[in-house]
Amino acid sequence: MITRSQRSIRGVVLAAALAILAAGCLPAPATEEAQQVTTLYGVFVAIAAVIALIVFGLATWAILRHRQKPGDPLPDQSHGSLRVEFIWTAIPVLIILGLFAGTLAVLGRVDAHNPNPGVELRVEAFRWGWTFSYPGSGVSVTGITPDGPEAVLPVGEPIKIVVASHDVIHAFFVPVFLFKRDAIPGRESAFDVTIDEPGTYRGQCAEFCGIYHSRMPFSIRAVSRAEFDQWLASQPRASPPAEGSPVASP
Amino acid sequence: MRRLIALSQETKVFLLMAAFGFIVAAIYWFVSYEPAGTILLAGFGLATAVIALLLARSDPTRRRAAAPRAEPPAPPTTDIGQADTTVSGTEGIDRPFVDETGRLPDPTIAPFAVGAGLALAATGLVFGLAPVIVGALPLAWGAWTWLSSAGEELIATEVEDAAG
Amino acid sequence: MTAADTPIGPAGASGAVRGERGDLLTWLTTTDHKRIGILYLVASFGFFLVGGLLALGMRAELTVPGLQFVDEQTYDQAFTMHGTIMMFLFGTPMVAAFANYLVPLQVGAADMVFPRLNALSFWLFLFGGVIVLSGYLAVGGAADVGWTGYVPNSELHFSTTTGTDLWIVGLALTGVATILGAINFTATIYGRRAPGMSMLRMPMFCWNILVASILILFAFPALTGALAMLLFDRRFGASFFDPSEGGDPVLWQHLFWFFGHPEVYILALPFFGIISEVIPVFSRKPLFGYRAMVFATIFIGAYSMSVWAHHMFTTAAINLPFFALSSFIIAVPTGIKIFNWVGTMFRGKLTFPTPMLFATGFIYLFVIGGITGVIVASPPLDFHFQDTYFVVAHLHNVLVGGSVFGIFAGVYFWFPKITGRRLDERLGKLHFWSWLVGFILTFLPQYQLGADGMPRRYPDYAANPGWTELNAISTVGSLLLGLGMIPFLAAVVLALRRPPDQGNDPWEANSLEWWTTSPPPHHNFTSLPPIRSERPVFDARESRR
Repeated sequence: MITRSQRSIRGVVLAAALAILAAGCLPAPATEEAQQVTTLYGVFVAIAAVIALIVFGLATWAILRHRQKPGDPLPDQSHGSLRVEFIWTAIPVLIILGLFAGTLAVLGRVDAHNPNPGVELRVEAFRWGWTFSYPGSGVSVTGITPDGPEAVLPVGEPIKIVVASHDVIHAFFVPVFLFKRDAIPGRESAFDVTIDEPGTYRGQCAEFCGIYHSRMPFSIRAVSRAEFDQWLASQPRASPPAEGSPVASP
Repeated sequence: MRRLIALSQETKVFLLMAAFGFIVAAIYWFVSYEPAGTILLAGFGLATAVIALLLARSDPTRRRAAAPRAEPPAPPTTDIGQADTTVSGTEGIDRPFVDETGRLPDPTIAPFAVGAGLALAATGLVFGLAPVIVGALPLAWGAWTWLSSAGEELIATEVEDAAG
Repeated sequence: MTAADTPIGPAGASGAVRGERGDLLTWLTTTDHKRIGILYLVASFGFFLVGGLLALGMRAELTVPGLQFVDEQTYDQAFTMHGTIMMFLFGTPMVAAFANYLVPLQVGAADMVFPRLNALSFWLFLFGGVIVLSGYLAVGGAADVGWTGYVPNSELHFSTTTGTDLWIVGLALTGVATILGAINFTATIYGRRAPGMSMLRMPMFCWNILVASILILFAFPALTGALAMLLFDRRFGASFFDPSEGGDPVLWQHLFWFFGHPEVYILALPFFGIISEVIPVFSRKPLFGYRAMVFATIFIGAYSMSVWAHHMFTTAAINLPFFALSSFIIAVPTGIKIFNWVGTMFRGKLTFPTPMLFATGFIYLFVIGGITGVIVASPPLDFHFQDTYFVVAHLHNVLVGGSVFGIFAGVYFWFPKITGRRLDERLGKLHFWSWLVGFILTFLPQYQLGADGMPRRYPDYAANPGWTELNAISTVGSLLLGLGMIPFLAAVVLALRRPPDQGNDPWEANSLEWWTTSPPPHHNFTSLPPIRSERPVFDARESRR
């Protein structure tokens, strides 16, 4: 025997599932930050589903049940109801405040800067490609191949990524990080990620930057710390380290 | 405070916008110290405040309060609005700002000429002086026609009013 | 009982006006707000068809991965011109079209306060639009910088085509035209209301136009300023936005979005207004919570000025919590509007002619668009969704599922008033259902594509699992949207070939425009009913029963 409340819970779960299908499921997160984002997204979508269900339900009820039949008199000329209007103003305000609190919590995590990152990766965007470099090591990777350059990063430790641009605005976007950051000429900006799954992850430019905007792929290969050290040591060292980059400093 | 409440709805709309602009500009400045957005927000507040001030000065409620019996009921020439003269609500705040009967201008090619001239002249920013010279002709002719016909209609209206 | 049985208002005393077709010169020299409204309607609809064809071209290219029909350059120009046309040459002038035709009628005036300025506003818009499109004839082709024209990509060094300069000049002209129109609407609403029509007895459409006009007055100057700065950079050696010369690319984004986000509400509020007119008429009830709606409209208007940088979350150059909170807050008054529309329908006596179908469809689609709007207003989520198809789906959800559905509701609703003829119901229903299904097929798959990380403004995309299928569905949907225009155009052509047969008030509606003849005479009114509520025509009709 299913009780009424169980049925309504099922309804909500079903609605949330449908809403995620409609609004889209995120790719499996590859960083600690992305896991938080996924949770936050789940909360947003669940609440969205409930609200949509209520509005759609009421509207559909009215459409089905409150049709005019021939000879019907005018309906009650109600001009509104302060009580009802207060309720449907107050509840959204509370929901909004709740969503804002959740947003702040996750934002604090996503936007956090670790003072002692394990690795620093410098990303320099240009029309139409990327240069990845590891400040202090003299290692730098630029790839103009169809698959773009590959940056190797260690898993399980905070990585500081600094984004900069040589010409126009680009955006460094790795879908499984659930994160992107604009590369703006004249500015540098940094963010932290902690990759928790080894693997090779595609990335691409996400801010329109001219004719070959769609041909700026790159990839991130996440490996264990030991493998990373080995890889870094095996790389050819260019003489000008990242400090001498032609990027205009702000 | 009472004077604030006595303001017309029209004025209050802009006053609300102005208050919003100033308050948000202040908050924005202290959370971000970002000049561009602060200037834009404060500019929004200032611009709406200027309009609110102008509206408050020409507010019909205020005019009426200052001279309660100065305005005789306008003799209606058509039956526009006649049916409503019994409603007390037409007094005070219900009165719009301008009480014109709405004479309509004659058809005129002037706006078209001004528009075409202005558009042509604007392409001068891209193509140099030539389109500016070509565009100036319809622009000047249109502006002259526009102003002279508006002037004539104004005089005709005044003559008509004096006669009527 | 139809309106023909109980004629209210003056009978068809304006036979001379009715039969009048008007030659070209009449249209070129008109200062009549109704004719200017029709000019706006036809011109912006023409631009809509051009923008729509560009969209169909892009969808065709995206059906499967790889470049099939166009190269990158053509694709970039296509999405730039599509966005520009839909925002500036279709959406904004469509607001002016409805406002021109309806505001004087709804407030009981004979015309706008500044009729000649009104005509100038139309011609400036039209010529500005032609200049924007003329980029296709320029050496190097049309503008290729996106409708947002982000610097430095839109600087001369990176976008060399003259088309981009023409884009700037044309947009500046249409911006001036829009400002002139907004001055006129505000002045008319403030200065020309019929006796008895207090602000709180004004039709909800006029309230929405008033607030949208205020937004235009204070948002468009930011755009004009930004465009002027860009033109100076490109043509006269300035460096407002060039970082190597001390300029700041982020400044463009501040200026552009300080205009751009109010613009979204300029494109939404008037059509909210149309929905607020249509739903009460076909529910046979007054609008639920009129005062709350007025307040929500003003609130949305004010707040829309303080949310602009939620388009800039990924720049790391702005205060995230401020813009997240203000963007969340704006969902509350928007929600009030939706609840009030549903509240109007509730316990009403609903009928579903085509205008009501579009209005109902609007509610459903707009709810989805509003909710996804709250999702992208959260910075941590937006870091993922920004510049992906999720945002594309969201903005089309709001602007197509919202504004365009509102526009069609309005066209079907006021067509009898404008022409004296009604659009065919069967063709209208075909139009509605093909658009509803087409919309769902086109845009809902794009949410999933965006969640998967497919970036926008790509002519080509990787053949990731599922992407080809979702894109193919989206393209099929867009085809349905395109085909859906055929019954609409057919309905218009068929209606115009019939003699006018509609009475003053074919829908048994509420506001003053239904008091006068269809189409109205040059002076609009020979008499007015008493105005004691926001529904004077309803009151007059009921008092005669």
